[in-house]
Amino acid sequence: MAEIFYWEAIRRAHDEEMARDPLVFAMGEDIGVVGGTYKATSGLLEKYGEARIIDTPISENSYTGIGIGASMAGMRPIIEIMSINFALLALDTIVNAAAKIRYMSGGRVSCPIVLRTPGGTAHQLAAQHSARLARMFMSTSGLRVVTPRGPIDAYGMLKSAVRCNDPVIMIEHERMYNMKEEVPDTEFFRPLEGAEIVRRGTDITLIGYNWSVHLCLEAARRLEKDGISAEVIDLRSLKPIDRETIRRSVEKTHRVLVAEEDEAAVGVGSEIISTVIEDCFFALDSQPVRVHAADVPVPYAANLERAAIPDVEDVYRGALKVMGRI
Amino acid sequence: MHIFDPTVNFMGGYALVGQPFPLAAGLGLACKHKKTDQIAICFLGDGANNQGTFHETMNMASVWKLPVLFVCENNQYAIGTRIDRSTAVVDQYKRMCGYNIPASQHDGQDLDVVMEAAKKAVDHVRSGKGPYFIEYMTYRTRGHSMSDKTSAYRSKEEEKKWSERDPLRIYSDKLIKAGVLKEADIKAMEKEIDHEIETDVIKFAEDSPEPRVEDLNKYVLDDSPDARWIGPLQNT
Repeated sequence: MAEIFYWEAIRRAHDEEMARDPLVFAMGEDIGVVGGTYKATSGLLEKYGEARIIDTPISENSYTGIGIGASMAGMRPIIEIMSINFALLALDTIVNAAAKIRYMSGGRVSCPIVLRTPGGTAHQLAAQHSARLARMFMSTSGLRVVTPRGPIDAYGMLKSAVRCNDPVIMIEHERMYNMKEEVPDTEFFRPLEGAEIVRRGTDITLIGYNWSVHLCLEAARRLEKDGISAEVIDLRSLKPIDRETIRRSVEKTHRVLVAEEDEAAVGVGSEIISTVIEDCFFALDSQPVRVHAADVPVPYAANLERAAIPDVEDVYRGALKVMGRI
Repeated sequence: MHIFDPTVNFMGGYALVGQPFPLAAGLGLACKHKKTDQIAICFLGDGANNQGTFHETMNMASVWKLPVLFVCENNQYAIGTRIDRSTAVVDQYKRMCGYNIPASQHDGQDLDVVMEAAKKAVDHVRSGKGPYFIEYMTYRTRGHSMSDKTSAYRSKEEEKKWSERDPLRIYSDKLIKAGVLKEADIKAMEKEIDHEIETDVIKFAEDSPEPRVEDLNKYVLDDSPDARWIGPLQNT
């Protein structure tokens, strides 16, 4: 057991899967010679060579499409898109090809790609480098969308994603690459489906994914000082959503809050609260609350960026509102 | 619309113009990686060449020397827009200069010319020298879609000129001239083919069952996934 960074966990998963299966390869901008903007593939070019660690030109739509084409012939590409903002350029191949080819071919051709990309605000990366976009992929049939909150899931879910026969979008976070966690030294896998209860509680359910899980956990610690016992759920998978774990928790706590770093409209919070209303409306003792970003492009100025993006205080106050304390 | 038959390595027909460029290059990358002697062949129209995927994929296919043959059927119209009204360089093979990909332009109506050019190109790609681009000059005798009235954008004279260069007619005339077949043989073959279409093909299509409604949700994702990778996670 060693404490390793999030980026190291991803690198280890690449390394093990590439050593095991010669059909696994990685491609993306600056992943080879440079080792990846976030070091997630560092040192792998030396080990696996240019044919399997491919530095691509800045052509997101087509290098993603090349990965998809290779997967149709049995290869197992791990495609890195340096920022989820640039994934917009690759939406045609992701949404119109990878997500649909299995269906269009009557199950005869599949696209087992893994597409890794950080989505989220870091520090002052401004409007065009701060997109989140999880909601766009979670609304697309034919994709899996996973959001590892720390090194254990980043390692274990990436390994599962490489072996899974479906296209998997793995959304990472720029502020999480240097997050550390104790990770077992022996090989393990984390399933792509299933929400995880990361803190037990009885009074309110706080639901997050990716970065916002950490906001929920910190808010839960503050709520405890106020005598409020919060349960925290990490969604882990945004497609499909684990409705069962959410329902059970809300039937126990009778109160729910969803925290997301993205804007609210047609988002993760909207979707989760809709499922709560459909699955356990009569269990609710108060109105659900969504904690989310302001409805603006993410500003550059540090003070405006802070104001636009939800923080622990926002989750904490949102929870007090659900509890009827404010 | 989307025809696939992987049993003969036919990897799909796509409705997004220009989308197959990278998919074909990816299939080529897989062939190269697996060290098979296969190559990928990508069929495209002149209209697809103004998509970003054209430029992006040609560039990568060339840099990585992928075994891909691009076959451009230049029918001179992108649906209803004539090529010189939409495209700065009308001869498509010339655009390959920008990607260092060997390319050539040929008459697409003469079967012998088409086959000879294809053979040379396939040999080039299969020898490991990287991609090749063939441009065949041709024509779409009918509209692009059911609602396409060709009279809006091209003349009757032009349509007549090209219909006289129908590849079937050109090749039939060659065979007759060479004494291989007589005009009556050609007529008999046409009749036989019409009959087959009417009695076998159309009947097969009409008699084939509709897909089952209960299968609506099949094939979206792997229908029998491995629980080791998929889960779900057990909360203890």
